[in-house]
Amino acid sequence: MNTNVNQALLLVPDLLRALAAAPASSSFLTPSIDSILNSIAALILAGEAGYEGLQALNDQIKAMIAANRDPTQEEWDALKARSDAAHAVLQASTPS
Amino acid sequence: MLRSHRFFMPGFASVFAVMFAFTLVTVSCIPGCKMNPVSTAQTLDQKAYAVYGTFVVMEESAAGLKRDPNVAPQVKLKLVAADARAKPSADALLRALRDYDAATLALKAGDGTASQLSIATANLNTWIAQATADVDALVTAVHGVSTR
Repeated sequence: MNTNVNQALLLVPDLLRALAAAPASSSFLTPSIDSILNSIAALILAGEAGYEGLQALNDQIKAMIAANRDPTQEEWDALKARSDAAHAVLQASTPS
Repeated sequence: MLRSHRFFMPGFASVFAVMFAFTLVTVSCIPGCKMNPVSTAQTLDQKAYAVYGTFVVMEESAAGLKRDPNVAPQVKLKLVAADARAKPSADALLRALRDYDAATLALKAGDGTASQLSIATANLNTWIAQATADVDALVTAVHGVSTR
């Protein structure tokens, strides 16, 4: 965990430097967020791995916005359970 | 509980939170990303959910690829490594969100301070950024396999 905290803190000066250097009127993008958006956009355009899952997630968030609410604890728990299950498959020592 | 309190001065945290919120709003203007959950989300909680949810979707895709006998072992190792890197920061994002929610409730109840909420907000934004970077690596790994 300390390693991750340090990694996160190392990110802050870079973000601040980049933000400070950006013209006020520019559509500045944090490099990491820009990168993930580009990757996700490529997935969406290609209709490949994760497409249906991302579409379902997007619809779920749209429903939250329509209902003027944030994610519930049950929704967070369900997401965490899915992550733990996939993580267990990926980190299993025996090849699948 | 608020792990970053030694590193953020209250003023710094507020400025950082506002600037990061600005970048989150700005990214929603990218053409072609209208279906992106991160840009669809509006509140900080929804943004965190979108980042974590994207991680879960890609993690499940990676798990499916690991089961695929047509995927080379060395490629599977890259997927496993990307997941191992992203999972801790994604889970740290959940803990930071709980801290943020607790600080928000405490402030509303009169038990907390604006400074505490500011620190929790900065901490959450930091983990959103870190998790986003790590999820990006996982997305790239999964996408690299699925487009072969």
